[in-house]
Parts: sequence; structure tokens; C-alpha cells
Amino acid sequence: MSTNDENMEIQLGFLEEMAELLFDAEKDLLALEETPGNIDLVSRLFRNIHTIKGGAGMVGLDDLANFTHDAENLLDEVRKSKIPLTAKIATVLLQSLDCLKDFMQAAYGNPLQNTDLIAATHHAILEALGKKPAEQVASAPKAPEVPTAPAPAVEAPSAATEISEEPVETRSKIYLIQFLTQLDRLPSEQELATLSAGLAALGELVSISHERSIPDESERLAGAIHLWRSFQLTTTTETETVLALFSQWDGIHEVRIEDLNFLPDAPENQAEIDAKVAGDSVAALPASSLRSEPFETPSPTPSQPVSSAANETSLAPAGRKQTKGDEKVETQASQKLTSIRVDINKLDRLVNLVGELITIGARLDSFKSIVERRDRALADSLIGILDDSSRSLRELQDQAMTIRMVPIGGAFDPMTRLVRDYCMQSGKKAKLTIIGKETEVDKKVSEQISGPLKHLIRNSLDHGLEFPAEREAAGKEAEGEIILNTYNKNGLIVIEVTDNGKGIDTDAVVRSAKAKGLVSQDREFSEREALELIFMPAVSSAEKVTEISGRGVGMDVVKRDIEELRGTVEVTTERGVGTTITVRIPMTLSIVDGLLVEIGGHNYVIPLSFVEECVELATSAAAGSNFLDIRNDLVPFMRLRELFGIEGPPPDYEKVVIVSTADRRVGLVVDRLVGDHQTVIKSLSRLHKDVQCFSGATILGDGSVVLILDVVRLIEAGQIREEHLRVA
Amino acid sequence: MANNHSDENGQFLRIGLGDETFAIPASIVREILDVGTMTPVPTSNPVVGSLVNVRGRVVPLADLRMRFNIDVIPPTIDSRVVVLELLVEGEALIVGIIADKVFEVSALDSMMEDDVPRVGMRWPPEFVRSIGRRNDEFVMVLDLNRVFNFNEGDELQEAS
Repeated sequence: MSTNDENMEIQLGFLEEMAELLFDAEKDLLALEETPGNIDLVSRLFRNIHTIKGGAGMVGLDDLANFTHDAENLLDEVRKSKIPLTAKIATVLLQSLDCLKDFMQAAYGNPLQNTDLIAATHHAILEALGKKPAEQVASAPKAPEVPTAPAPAVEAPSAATEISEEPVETRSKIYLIQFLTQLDRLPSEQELATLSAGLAALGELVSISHERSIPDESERLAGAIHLWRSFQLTTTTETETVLALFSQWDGIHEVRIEDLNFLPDAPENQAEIDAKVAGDSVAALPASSLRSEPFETPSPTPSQPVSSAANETSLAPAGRKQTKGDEKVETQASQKLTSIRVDINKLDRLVNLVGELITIGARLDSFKSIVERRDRALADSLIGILDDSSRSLRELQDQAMTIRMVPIGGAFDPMTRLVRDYCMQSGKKAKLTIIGKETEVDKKVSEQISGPLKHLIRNSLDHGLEFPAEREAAGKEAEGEIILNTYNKNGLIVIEVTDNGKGIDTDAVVRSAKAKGLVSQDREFSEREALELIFMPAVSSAEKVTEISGRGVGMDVVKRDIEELRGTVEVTTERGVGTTITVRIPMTLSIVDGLLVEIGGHNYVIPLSFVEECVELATSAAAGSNFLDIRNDLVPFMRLRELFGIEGPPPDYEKVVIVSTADRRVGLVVDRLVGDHQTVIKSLSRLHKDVQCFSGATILGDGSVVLILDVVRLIEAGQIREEHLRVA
Repeated sequence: MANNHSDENGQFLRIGLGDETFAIPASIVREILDVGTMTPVPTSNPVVGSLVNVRGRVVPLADLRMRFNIDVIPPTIDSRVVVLELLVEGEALIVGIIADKVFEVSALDSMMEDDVPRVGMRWPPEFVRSIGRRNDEFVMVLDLNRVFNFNEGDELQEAS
């Protein structure tokens, strides 16, 4: 049987799948609240929970399986419309999902976080089911076995374990294929070998011969068919594909395929299978029928609860729709087969290697001119090769980058739950509209944007949106709206969080900042400057501190997180109408189009997305002044030579690169512009984490290492200097 | 982490910094390179004041001479970059150090493990794990985890 390691692997595989199932389940549950009675959703939800239960039982996570079992029962009642999906029930179910996450963490070896919540939720589930919690509490998640379990459901998974001795991929199915034939039509050995090889190619194959149990010649009935071979196939392939292999046997033999995973009543069937496998010959049947039981019998579809074998009749209308749902899921499942799961580290390694190839490509390119000078003919053929290779390289790079790209929607999904939970708690009413879910971003961006986004949405809920009464008094709809809009612009991902609440009281923000001594008392603030203040630590416009936000920690953290993604945040607000927070981040974190500049004999890269224009530094401006006149706008500038402590006189004609984030502009004075350069970003080591001016480094074609300027930080530093100078 | 040096089989790479000879456990030496282009990192701690390209990887280059108050001279024909793979605070760290000279990898003749004399050394004694002998010459075995754990020694930040 399986070793411990294999068991662990199966368990990890299950947990990984479970995380996805839970994720989908939560989404479905929230959607279901919007459209109660959507039978497709309930079915899918039920199926997901059911799969979790089955899987948990199979890998020996009994607590998890038992808990899921009860949640499944509740869901079953909802599915059968016996219990309406009220907000209360939805909350119980959502909580159950939270508990399952907790169990899942426990399976990874972390201690259970919320035993109270689990107990309370379990109690609530049983209460909702109309069962006396008292008697059930004993068999609640802690107990490893449920001897008086109301349904035989928990046994099904264990039966499955027996059947699948091999470590199976959790999504794979186990088929029992029985081959029955008239004995004078037994296939030749070669035919059998072909068939076996075909099956073996689909998955793991166990072949069982029954020839010895075929009765003696004298006892055979004329025309009777006998079971002579069965196969147990563990595969991820769809039933149709398996069936196709037998198509040539159709008409001569009888082939039966059973999907062992979906047996409604495992123990009984197990006996049946055993009996069949043992070689009972079967009475004469039309030898030509190619049968596939899961399709012929309506009941054992994957969505069916193992415990509800008898309820199909009462479910006729719902049952039909459900089949539709199944078909959809079926196609989804087959679509999933075209993708594979890859360890993200492998992907990162791949992207890194591609980056290195690009660097080598650039090096080869620089070799071109050297060869050209020496040997014209050789150079020509070299150039041809280099062009081909650089084209392929570019394509390889594009492809490698797209592998990492995922729709940003994944990061948005938790927001729906957030808004719902907030509204339940606070008494506010809000709906969340999400636009542009499919916008693609680097996987890392999508992971890291979730935290700051949650913060922004909480802020909108807490500070932006008013209570229903207040809104109505102001002539607005009682239900507030938050719009999460995402789109691509200029190679950047733009995410806007817009609420139609009361807007930000900039006076209150200024008061708060002054009260906390963060800015001088007598300073005047423009509207825009006041809005900037909300990004300072400890500034808040909230009158009272709530559970959720208002402690004045927040926007500064959001800003820092976004800047870590090399992005920017900007706020616009209108009193009484609402607030929009705009986040702009680069699509990918690993490649940047840069402007190569020279300062003090060394090259540096300025990310092109921040560059507005380049101008010459007039000698007059260089003397004493710290501002440039760019079309009647005063732009502060910084001498990078000074900042970097480079000694010696600057060249006669220095250049200024005007960089901007949102609407703040700063000029960076450099010695010389070198050119455009697409660079693969390498992060700096921990030994350089105290260095503020650079966000990373890159390697040029000649192999030299070049630092990438951290424009956001530089602009900030410039802004501080500007304020300093204006005061002076 | 302290055990980083324990699987070294007694083999050490000896390097020369100024007039002194230091020993580095051979097990953490990744490669030894000629001194190539060094990219200065403005505003950084001068001890790790530059970056080098090690086979497509950007690696910080440390100058331990600064840390040990040894005269810094420009690279000569004998200078080398020794690339080390350390485990600092539980994370792998690849770092190059510049050496005025690199001797061979060998065992040390003898080793004083415990009693590192606290006096008579120009460099902070905590950077020396033990003192050994090789060919009648004293060799300082470096505690590189300490040397590169900048959080511990705040004097560096002050120095920069």
C-alpha cells in the first residue's frame, strides 16, 4: 500500500484542490445570495462541498470530513428548497467555509484558530437542520468517527480509499471496465495487447483475468456471454475517451464501464463489484450493446449526494435543470484538462532564465559592430543569425511573461464578501460593482494588490458611504455603491475605487494633521495638498474610530504597499458626491522599459513609464536656482551628482529628465542621455535594503551591472526639498 | 546558522587582506573570479559599496578591508572576487568579497577554537571565530554570518 510520503502527497494535493473549491464555493454562495433559487449555483456549490467531504474522508481528515458532512446536509436542504436561503443561513454557510479554511490550515500543521467559531457554526448548522444540537455535539468535529451519523455518507469516501490503492491525482476518476463476450469470440492476444496499451496510456491500469472462473465447456449455455477480463483504470480522461477505445469491440463484445467514484451506495456496490470481479457469469444479454452505466442510469451523477439515493423522484423539475448544470461542469472539467498546475518557483526560474537570455542576446548584438569592422561578409551572415535569434528571443520573452499573467479578478473576489460582511455588521447598505475583472496582470501583482485593495474598500465603506437614513436625507439612494474599475493604460494597470458617499472632508483632514503636530499650525493647504495628507501616518478624517478603520493607520500603508509594486496612488473627491482613489501599477514586475542615463561615468536606468520629457539644463538655471521653468510651470530639480556624492565638475551641458507620478513632477539632472533600454529587473540584496534611491538593478549587453532609479522615492524626496525651499 | 561552518571538513580557503591572512570555510565558497567591472552603489554602506555580475546574477560586492580597518588599495593583478554563499538570518545570501590575494584551499595545521584573544587585534574580535595556524603563520577564521549581519553591528551604519 501507500507509504507515508505518498499519503502526504495525496493529502497535499487534496488541500490544494480544496483551497480552489472553497474559493469557488464562497464565490458561488455570495452569488447565490443575489439570485436565490439559482439551481445551477446551488448544485455546483453542493458538488464542491461534496467533493471536499469525499476528498477529506479519503485522505483521512476525519474532522474535516465530518464537519463538511453537516454543512453539506444543510446545503442539501437548501438545494431541495426545504430550507430557504435566508441571510442567516447564508451567514452560517459562509462561516462554515471559514471553518473549513481553518480545518485546512490545521491539516497543514497549524493549530486550529477558531475552535469557538467551529463549535458555534456547527451548532448553528444543526439548529438550522432542526436537529437537537445536544446529542450531536459529541459527534462534532472532534470525534474521529461518527457512529450514529444520520447518513451513510461518511462511509463512501472510505470505500473509495479501499478501491484506489494507488496514489491518485485527486481529480482523476476510477473506472471499472468489464469485458464480457461469447467464448468463441475471444480476442487474440495481439488485440488484447493493443487494447491494454491504449488503456494504460490513459492512466493507471490494473487488469484482472477471469478466465479461470469461466465454466467448463459442458456447462456453458449456447450464446451466453461471460466476464473474462476486467480493468480498473485510474484516469483523468473523460468517459467518452475511454469508451472510444472500445468502439471496435462494439458488436462483438459487451463492454461495461462504471465510474467507481460516483457510486451512490458504496458498501452495497462494493459487494456487487466484488461479486462481479469474482467472475459471476452473466446471463445472456444482447451481445452488441455497448453500455456505459453512468450515462444510462440517471442517478449517479457527480452532483448527487451519496446520502440521498431515494430523493430523485421528489426532485423531478429541479433534477432536470441540474443535469444541465452538470453538463456545464463537465465541459469545464474537460477544459481544465488543457491546463496544468505549475510550481510558481519554476515559473520564476523560467522568467529569470529568459531574462538572462535577453541579456546575452544584447551582448551578442554589441558584438555585431566589432565583427562588422573586421570582416564585412562575416558580419552579414552573423547579422542574419542574430536577427532570427533576437526575434525568437523576443517572442520567448513575451510568452514567458504571459505565463505569469492572470486575470486580476482573482484579487477582487474577496471584496464581495468584505462588502457583504461589512454591511451586515454596520447597518450600512452597499453594493459592489466590479468592472474589468479580466484585465491581466502579473501573478505577483495580483497577489500583492489584494491587501491594499481591501484597505481601500474598507475605507470607502467606513468613511465614504453614509448610513441609509443619512443618504436618503441627502437625496441619494439608501444603498451606496462602490465601483471597482480596472483597465490598461499606457502599459500600466489602472485600478479605480469609486464610492458615491460623502467625499473627504479636507478641512477635517487638515485639522487632524495639525492636531497631531504633523504639519505646522499656520500652514495653508490647497485642496490637493490637503488630500495628500491622508497618506501621512496617523491622519484620519473619521470622527470616531470603528472596528474596521479610522484609527488613522491605513492610507500610508496602502501607499507604501502600492509603491512596493512600483505604483502610485491618487485621490480625487467631491464633497457630497463621492471619492475616487486611483491606483496605477506596472503590469509586470520583472521587466521595465528604461531610459539609460550617465551620471559621473556610470550608467543608470530611469523607468520610461515615469519619464515625461528631457530638456537641456540652461547654464543660467544651473547657477543657484532650484526650479526649472517648463512651459510656465515651476518644476523642482535635483542634481543626482550631488545626491550620489560624485565629485568633480559636471559636464558643460547637463540634461534634465522630467519624471512624474500622477501630477507631481521633478527634474533629475544627469550628465548625458544614453538611450532606451529594455531591462530585466533584478532586486537588490538584503545588504542594500537601506539604499533609498534605487529600486533594483539590471545587466546591460556588455555585462555591466546598472542600477535602476527609484523614481517614486526620488520624487518624494524632491517634494520634501521643494517644500523646504518654498518655506525658506 | 552557526553550524554553517561545521560541515567544512576542515578545509579552508585562505585569502590575504593587506598583510593579514584570513580563512574562509571552503564549503561556502562558490567561485573565485577575476576582478571585473564593479558598479558603485551611491548612498550605500561603503562596506558593500558596489555590485558585480556573477553569471547573470547581480551580486553585492563587499570590501572587508573597510570593516577590518585594513588599508584599501586599488585592485592589483593578484586581486580576486571570492563569491560566497551564506545563510544569514535563515535566508541564503550570495555575496562577493574582494581579496588582495587568494591562497590555496587546505586544512589548517592547528586551531584555537575557544580562546580568541580579545586584545591586540585591529578588527572587532566578534568577527573572528577562531585562530588557526598554517605554515607558522596565524590565520583568522572569519565568522562570516556575523560579518554580514549588519543589524547586529550598528557601528557600521554610523560609520557610513
